[in-house]
Amino acid sequence: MKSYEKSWQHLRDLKLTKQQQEKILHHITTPTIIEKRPTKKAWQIPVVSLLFITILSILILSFIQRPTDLPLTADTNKTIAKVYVHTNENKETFIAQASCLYVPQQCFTNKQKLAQLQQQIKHAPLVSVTDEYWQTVDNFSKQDVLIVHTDGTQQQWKVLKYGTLLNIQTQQVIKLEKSFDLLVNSYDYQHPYKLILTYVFILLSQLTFWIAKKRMPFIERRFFAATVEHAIANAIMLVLCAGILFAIYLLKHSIHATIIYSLFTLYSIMQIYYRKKAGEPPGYLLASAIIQLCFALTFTCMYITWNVHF
Amino acid sequence: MFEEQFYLHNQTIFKYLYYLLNDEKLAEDFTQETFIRFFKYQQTIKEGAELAWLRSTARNLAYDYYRRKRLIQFVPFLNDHEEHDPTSPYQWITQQEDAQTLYLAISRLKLTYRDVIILRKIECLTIQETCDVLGWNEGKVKNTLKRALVALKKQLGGEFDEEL
Repeated sequence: MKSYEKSWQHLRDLKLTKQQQEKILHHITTPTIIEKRPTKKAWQIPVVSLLFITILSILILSFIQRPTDLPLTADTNKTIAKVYVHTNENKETFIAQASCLYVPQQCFTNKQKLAQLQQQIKHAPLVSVTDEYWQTVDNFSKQDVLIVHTDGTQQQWKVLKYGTLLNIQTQQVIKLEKSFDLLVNSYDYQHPYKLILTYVFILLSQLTFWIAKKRMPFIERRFFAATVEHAIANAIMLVLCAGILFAIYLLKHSIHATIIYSLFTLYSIMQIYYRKKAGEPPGYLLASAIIQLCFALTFTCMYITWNVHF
Repeated sequence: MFEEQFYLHNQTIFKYLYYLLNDEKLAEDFTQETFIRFFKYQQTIKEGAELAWLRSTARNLAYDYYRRKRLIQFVPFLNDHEEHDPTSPYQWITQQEDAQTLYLAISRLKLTYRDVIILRKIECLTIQETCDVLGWNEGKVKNTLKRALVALKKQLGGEFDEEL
């Protein structure tokens, strides 16, 4: 064992130099003339807060906007351009919307398959279904189908059982030769190929995380990231984003992808801003940004895999 | 009166701040700030309690600084890259190799451990005086010092034998 008594004594003898003492004393005792500037301070708003307010305003405005009038044409050569399918348990409402960007909603764009569907609809026999039957039936497919034609006209259908479709505009009921679910299921073989990209981005995010961890020692990382304020701010942002998305889903039954992306972007920016403010080194900030980007791309790939069929 | 108090206590306050902050310039600035406050409030300070008041003020300044910087747990930054005046306190510490090792080991301890080690081992305050400065009870001071010395021993690679 080594005795450090000499070293303690050495540390005890630490002194300010005479020059340092004089300088301090001079600063304290000599009154300094402070130039008085006008106290009027321009009102400032932090950039991140401004961004937050802007995105929230866009979200609120997106609620206020009214649906545009649907075009009405009698083009006989029109073909089906896109089909949107939205699960809806309520018989009284129709919630499918004409955009591939609504989540959770299936979007079909494959021309060949849609041409087949058009042929099926064209040759489908009319079936009579009474209003009473429709009101009382419980075991229906719970799917809203919105068909958008090349001329912009739309048809709104509700799927009854066994490929029977009810046009809610004309109250016409047709029975397709094949079940409507076949259209949905016919894309299943594409899923593994599309999912590969999803796995790539998940792996990339893990790899970035691993490299960042490897390059920065544990203590240093903990010192930067594990502050209570950071955890609280993170939790508040997550709860806020999840709350906004859940509220939109409750009100509109579907969420526009741009809202999800906007909120995620906002969350990512605030996350990186906060990390920067906490003094994290640029390398770790970059890793954090790449991880956030990977998450966004993973979500996009998963969304395209399960919801957009082309 | 003020100058007298300044010359009497400035070394103690600077030393305390230097070991607490591990930064000579900051220690110098905070020593100045401590005495500016003393200068401002000296009429309200009881006679004989000046040093305790100065120590508390210096400690509050240092803790406020760490709170602002969110460095309350770990303070790994040592300004080794900065050039030091050959006559500066830093240069003085590095003159003795073992003292430098000890200084670096102390600087890697967490703030409360560093605080209690500075007061008890460097400033050589009694348990009661340490209690007064830190606002802790006797048991807490003893226990924290015990843990701090264990942590210091670990920092020094086990080569440390120190009595409480």
